[in-house]
Amino acid sequence: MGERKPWHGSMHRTSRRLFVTACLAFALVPPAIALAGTQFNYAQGFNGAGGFYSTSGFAPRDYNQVWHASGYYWQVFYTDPGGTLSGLERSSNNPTRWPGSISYGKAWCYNESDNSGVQWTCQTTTP
Amino acid sequence: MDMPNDNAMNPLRRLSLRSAIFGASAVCGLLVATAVVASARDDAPTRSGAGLSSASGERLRDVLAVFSRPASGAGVLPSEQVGDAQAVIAQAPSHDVDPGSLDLEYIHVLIAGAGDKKPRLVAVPTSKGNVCLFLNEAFTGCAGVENFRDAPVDISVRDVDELGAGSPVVVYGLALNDVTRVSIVDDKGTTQPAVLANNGFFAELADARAWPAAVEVTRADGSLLKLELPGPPNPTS
Repeated sequence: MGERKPWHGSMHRTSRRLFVTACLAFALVPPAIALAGTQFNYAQGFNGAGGFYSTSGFAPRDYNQVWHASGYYWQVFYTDPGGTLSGLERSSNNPTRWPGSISYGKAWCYNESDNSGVQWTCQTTTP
Repeated sequence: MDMPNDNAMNPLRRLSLRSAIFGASAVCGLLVATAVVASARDDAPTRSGAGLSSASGERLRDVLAVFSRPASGAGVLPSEQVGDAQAVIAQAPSHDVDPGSLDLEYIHVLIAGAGDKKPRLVAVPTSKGNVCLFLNEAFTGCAGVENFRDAPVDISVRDVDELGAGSPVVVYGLALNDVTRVSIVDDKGTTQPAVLANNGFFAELADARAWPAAVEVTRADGSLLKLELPGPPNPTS
């Protein structure tokens, strides 16, 4: 048997790198996708100043926000199973948005003053 | 029977008819002029006793003096944060609530940060004339002229962790050009001044257990406005 030609060795190394890269991709990409939750609307409507709205259950959340007519005050925040409030943002900006995450919480939006007649939409993520 | 014809109308009656037509024209002209002036007043942004009121076409980015100064330049915000904000805005559920795309050419640092505890408030106007805010590089939504309908400041309140514990509540936002001082009064009775610069303001309460009860705004004419804030949310009430 003669020794391997250099280009064979190079091809072998390339194949091995491709295999390792593919394995890493299979191992790492799904958890990465799982970490970025899927956005969904947990409440939507018109008017209703004074109303509280929330997700039905607890889960890891990436952010919490509400789209609404500018100039009307809204609040978004989380509660944990013990009822503790955290991650609160109150503003009349659009969207009113708390960009932070919670490991296990219920997302809330509170319509403080919006009877504008423009549709509002509360959004967060679910795993 | 002799019928009077127009040509035969006596001079006194002709004069009276001309006067009536002239008078009616003058009244019509006066009414039209009044309507035009009233319409122009409605269209112009006016500073009422409380805040800014406007009608069609007025844009916040044209009202705030900071945007008439040279922009802070690209690189003020990390590209990742800009990308996140653009992605959020792109998913606005409807045209009615879409603040417009970020106009990064006119980005401005309102309050510069230094060290870990200092805030960094950055403003970016949009294609629709709104102004988007980034607090400590995180996108926090966009304000329009409507945000100043009732007051010369647009007040945002944030608590990054558990309410009443951990880090204190911060109060921040945009202020109209004639605001000279902003102070925060908390529910323990403490009053503290906010940093006010370039149409932006920021204050962090001294006590982590305190909640902002009111914002006091002083304007260039010396008038003082006290804006009461609601208490913390109570979803179980």
